[in-house]
Amino acid sequence: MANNKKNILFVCATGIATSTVVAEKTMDFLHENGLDADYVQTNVASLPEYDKNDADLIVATTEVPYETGIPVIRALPLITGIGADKVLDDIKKEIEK
Amino acid sequence: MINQMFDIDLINLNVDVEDEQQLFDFIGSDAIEKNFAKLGYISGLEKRELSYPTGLQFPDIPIALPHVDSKYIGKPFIYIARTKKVLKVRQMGDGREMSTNNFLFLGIKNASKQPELLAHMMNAFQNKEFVQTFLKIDSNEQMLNLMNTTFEKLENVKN
Repeated sequence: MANNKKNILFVCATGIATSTVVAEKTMDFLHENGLDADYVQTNVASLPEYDKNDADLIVATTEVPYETGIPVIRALPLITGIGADKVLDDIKKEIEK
Repeated sequence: MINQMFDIDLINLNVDVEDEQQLFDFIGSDAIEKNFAKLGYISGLEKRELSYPTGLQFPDIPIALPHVDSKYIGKPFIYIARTKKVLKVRQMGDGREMSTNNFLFLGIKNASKQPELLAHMMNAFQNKEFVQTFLKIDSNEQMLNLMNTTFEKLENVKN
């Protein structure tokens, strides 16, 4: 196991509402699967300040209209439940990379 | 306390408007008048919804969650609005067109506590039984009661 925890950037329009919901679900899921990660939440407008040295993965409930070099997973299914398992699985794969 | 987010004065199940803009004007003015939201809230809603729409298609119900930057929020609140007509809204994430007459205006002020309620609510709207009850209710008192009992229960489970 690598010592270095992955960094996840949870993104929504305000950085406090749906990104919190998604962060909670994701972190619960990772912990249940014996995984861990560091994370921060931010609003989508601040994304240009980030690059791939800052985070390994973006999990977003909004469109991400910037090229940051960080892989993006669209997290809307974690809010509505429709297709949530696939999203969690995709996140897990990125964290295990 | 989670339940302080709901208020009998912030429930309107018969909003008579033609489109989302009129809805924002109507609910926004009411929330400002009742000192829950601050001046700038309405234009905040409009701008926000244009760039980052908030429609969500759950398995058994479409809803929209209009919300803005916390600087426009006076007291934290959730305003439950049902429109008589089904309105066009756009879906969160991809902006795809959808329609709904169920709106939850989220007045989030405290970034550490209130999103927890939002998480509980999103779980509730994935639950068929809750959604059926939510859709059937036509009085403000019943709606307040549903919200208070549902989220009280969820909080107890969590503790």
